[in-house]
Amino acid sequence: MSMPVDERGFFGEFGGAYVPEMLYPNVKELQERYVAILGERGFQDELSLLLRDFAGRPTPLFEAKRLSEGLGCEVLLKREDLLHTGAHKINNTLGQILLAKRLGRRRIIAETGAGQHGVATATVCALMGLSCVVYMGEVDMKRQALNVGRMRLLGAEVRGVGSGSRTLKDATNEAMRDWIANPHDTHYIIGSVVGPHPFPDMVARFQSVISQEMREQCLTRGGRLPTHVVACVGGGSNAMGGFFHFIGDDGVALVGVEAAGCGLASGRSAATTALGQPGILHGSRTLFMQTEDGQVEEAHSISAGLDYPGIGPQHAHLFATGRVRYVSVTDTEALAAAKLLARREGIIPALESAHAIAALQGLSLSGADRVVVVLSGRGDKDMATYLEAFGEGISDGV
Amino acid sequence: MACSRFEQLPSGRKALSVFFTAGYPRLNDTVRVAEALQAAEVDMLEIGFPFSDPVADGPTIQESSLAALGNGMTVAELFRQLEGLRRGGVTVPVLLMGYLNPLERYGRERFFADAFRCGVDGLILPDMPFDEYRINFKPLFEKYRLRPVFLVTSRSDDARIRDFDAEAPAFLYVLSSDAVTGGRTDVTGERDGFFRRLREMRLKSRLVVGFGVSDRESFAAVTRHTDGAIIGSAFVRAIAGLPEGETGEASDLAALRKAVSAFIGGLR
Repeated sequence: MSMPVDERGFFGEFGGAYVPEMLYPNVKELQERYVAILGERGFQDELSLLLRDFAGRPTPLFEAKRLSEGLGCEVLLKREDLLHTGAHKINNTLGQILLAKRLGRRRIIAETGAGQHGVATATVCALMGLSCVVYMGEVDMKRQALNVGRMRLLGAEVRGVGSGSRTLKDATNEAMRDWIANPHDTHYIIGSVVGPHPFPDMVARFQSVISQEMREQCLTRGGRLPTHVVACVGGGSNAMGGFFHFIGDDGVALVGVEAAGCGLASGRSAATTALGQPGILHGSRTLFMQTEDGQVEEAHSISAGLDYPGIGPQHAHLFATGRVRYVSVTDTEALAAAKLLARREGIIPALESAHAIAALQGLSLSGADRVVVVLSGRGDKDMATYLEAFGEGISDGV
Repeated sequence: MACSRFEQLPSGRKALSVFFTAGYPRLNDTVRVAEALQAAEVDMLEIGFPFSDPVADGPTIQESSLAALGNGMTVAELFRQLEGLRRGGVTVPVLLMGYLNPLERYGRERFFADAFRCGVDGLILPDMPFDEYRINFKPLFEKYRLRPVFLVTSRSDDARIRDFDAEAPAFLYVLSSDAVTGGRTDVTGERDGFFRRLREMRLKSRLVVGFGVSDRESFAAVTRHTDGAIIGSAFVRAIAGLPEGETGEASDLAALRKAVSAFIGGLR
């Protein structure tokens, strides 16, 4: 294990399972059974086959030559955007749906921000014939209307959440309330490395296939590990997946990219490590943006998938220990990076992944560096945002 | 265990406990609502300190929490208001109820010390894990002579319930159904079976039922096999539309007293 969790679910001082008694039996059942179930030969075989034949793994490690030229170092893109449903989220939902079946659950609930996790959950529920309810903030339903339609076409019920900031944080609250009301037949597929233990560890394990492949692909290609791994961080699941098997390699710099939104000082941002404080949110002790009175602050990012006021407990720990360096990128920088990638490499990235691309500029890279960027998702879902943001200038050069 | 206000709870009849959100409907209503409830002969009070993300609560308490935060309620403000609680003649047991994050941000020990200083008798912290209670919180409960409360559901196993019981809680907060606050209680044999199971365990703690108790009928139904019940969302709704008082930061006192007395009168 590259990221050990203790028996109470802590990574250093972060993690744990802060859930009301109503959820205790469900969480305890997961805690007691997840390691054994994930370790079963039959489970692993079934998951591997689905990851290969249904999701499309392994994903390529693509050498982005024109981007490399511009930056003066080798840039490799881990193409999670090529997965079925368009993002890394399917790695986790396939794993959790197999787990839910083994636990005898027939109903699945999920929260979603950008809609990618919702789509990935609706997809595996259709595949397995389980009923599916996805909670989504009303603000996000509007800006990710395409994904709402995809979920519905796949047979999921999408429930709009009108409370609080009407985004991912509130969708997560509402999903937890649903689980409290339906503990017997329902499994909650959390979409990121957040929530009570064992979710952060379990989701990280399911996403760790990303760095497992990256490691092999890097060694096959020139026999050396990357010098940098760069990934965006909302809750932090693609980043945990991308960092997982490199955490023990001191020579590999790990960079998490948070959304600065309108700027760190603007009051409209989602840069948790820069602006957050330790506290308890959504069942774990972690870092999140909060007032002096301990009220959760609303996040802002142009990217719905990064629009979350906290990060998962592993990231809080990796930040506290200094193993991962966290930087932030504004909405404007992310938009420019999306256009850059489209023009230089013929890839329209998700707005989330565009944050990771944008961060490359600031890393003072040199000729000997080999940078792997986790391209967590594709940009189809963000076309409405791109059209609105670029306007007439969409055809202009970069 | 030291003699506490909980020992004064009625032995002959079922205890009626009322939950309300601090700073709601207006910032300075907290102590006045408490006084009106005491005047209406409620047996125990639970004052909610608001949190922005109350996952165990339904829409009514969520909305009252957000409204209270909008009114300027904070943990520091609550303790400032509660300094007048016991001076104003409130003698029934008072508990504070809320989520861990605002408490921890205020400072764990500082919170307990201030609660003790204001005459609070116990704390209900639904997202405090039991292992964390034993490691970090129990010494503070003891030091500041506050009593914990533990939630139990029909899925809590006997061993766990006995562990809670052994901690001398103010009472066991028995959940009437699988739901967040403000839901409906189904009057079913299954639920009565759960209450009977608790009764047959011969626990030392009082059994007080909450979540989904809203009127005379549900109060009578859930207290048939238990010691009392808590009414929250229904009471919060009953005081939601009060007219503004003279200052704007408090509701009209006569209207507040009238609404409280009418609501409580309808329960007994």
